[in-house]
Amino acid sequence: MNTKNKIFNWLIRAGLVLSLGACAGAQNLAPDEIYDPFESTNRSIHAFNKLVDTAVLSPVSEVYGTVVPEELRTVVDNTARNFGQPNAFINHILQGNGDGASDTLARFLINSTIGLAGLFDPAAEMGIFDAPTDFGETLAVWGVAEGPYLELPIMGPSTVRGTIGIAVDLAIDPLNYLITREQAYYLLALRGVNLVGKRNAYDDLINVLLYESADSYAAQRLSYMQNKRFAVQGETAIDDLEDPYAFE
Amino acid sequence: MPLNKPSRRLVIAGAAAFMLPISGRALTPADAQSYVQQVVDVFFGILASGASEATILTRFEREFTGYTDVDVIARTVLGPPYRSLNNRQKRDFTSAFGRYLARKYGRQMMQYGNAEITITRAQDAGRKGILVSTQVRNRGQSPFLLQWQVSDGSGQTKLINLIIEGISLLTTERGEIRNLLDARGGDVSALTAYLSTQ
Repeated sequence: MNTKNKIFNWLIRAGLVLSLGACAGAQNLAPDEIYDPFESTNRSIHAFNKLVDTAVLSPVSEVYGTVVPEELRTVVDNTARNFGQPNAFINHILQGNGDGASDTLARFLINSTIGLAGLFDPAAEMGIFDAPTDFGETLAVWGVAEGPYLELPIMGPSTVRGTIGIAVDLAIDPLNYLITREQAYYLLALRGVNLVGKRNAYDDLINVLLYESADSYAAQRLSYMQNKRFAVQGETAIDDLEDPYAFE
Repeated sequence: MPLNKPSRRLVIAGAAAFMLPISGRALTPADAQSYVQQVVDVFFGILASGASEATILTRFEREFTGYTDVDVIARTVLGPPYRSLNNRQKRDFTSAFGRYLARKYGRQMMQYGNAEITITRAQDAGRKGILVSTQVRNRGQSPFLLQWQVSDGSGQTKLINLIIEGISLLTTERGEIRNLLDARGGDVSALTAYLSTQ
């Protein structure tokens, strides 16, 4: 099959980049250290992404926030998130994370039924919260280093490891094998709308990073890397805390 | 002598007991937890008060700078350039930085004014103080982790860092202040002037 061939092609190439990335980024970095050998390319992509945000995403999300009532925005968010659960479940299993896997499965079962095909999130009301993850985090659990920092067009901040994760997630998402081509288009559209919704929900945080910081590229890179390392560790390591009184 | 060892121990124990009041009682996780509860009540009480943004930010700034050790944060965030400042420059930078910090984080926290905030854990980090974890739950959103690093390193119990889903205020602001300073050719006075307009 043509698409399958493409996917395998991708995987082989991804495998090559992965081994390169693993070698290149194997060193242990301090919390505020970031390996960014492609900075000039990344900065060009950042400028492009910022332009897209200024010209399209931000104004569209503002309209979305005004026109679409909050209840409906929540429904869109819930539904898009529910469709992401099967893939998160697979990755929790691959990571050997039993709690994450069982929470994700429980959420999917509860929200798909009582939550009317994922429109609502009764699981959260029961105290079972979303535990999002992806193949990039699976690779991290397997001991693959994050590799160089990358800013991707439209998708934003990532690393070599994260980018490979995105490609693999496309291939292993069980949903892709269960839905028809037409349904896949609807899902893509839903995810697109939800991207606009997320831009609207995190408007203040994104604006601080992109438009109020001295160097939006550096600010976004630092926030992304701190958050990603935290997600991979699953907690804030006491050893990584600072002692500000140590600086005289 | 059989009495020699115990008596030496006794002397050491006596000396240690004598020294205890001087070094003071160390901050315990329980102390830090009740401090954070108080801070949360005060901060979010203001943020959810429904007053105008300008009023909220003014009141938030006063409380934030009271509960936070702005001196030590300003010093560690500016880093080596801080050492070469004279006392007046240090004072000016610290006060402009405190204002900038309070307004920036006040604005960001404002959208969580009505969130439910629950203390989930307090971890002893030794010399680095106590890390108190809170879960912040806003209606219709997944909860996130907000951590408060509390220390009595200055002699008084104060907040010394905030960590939002792994994103540390100290790390983030060190990056930001460095970039702002670089953009001003390393001129701290220009940086201070800029911060006080924020």
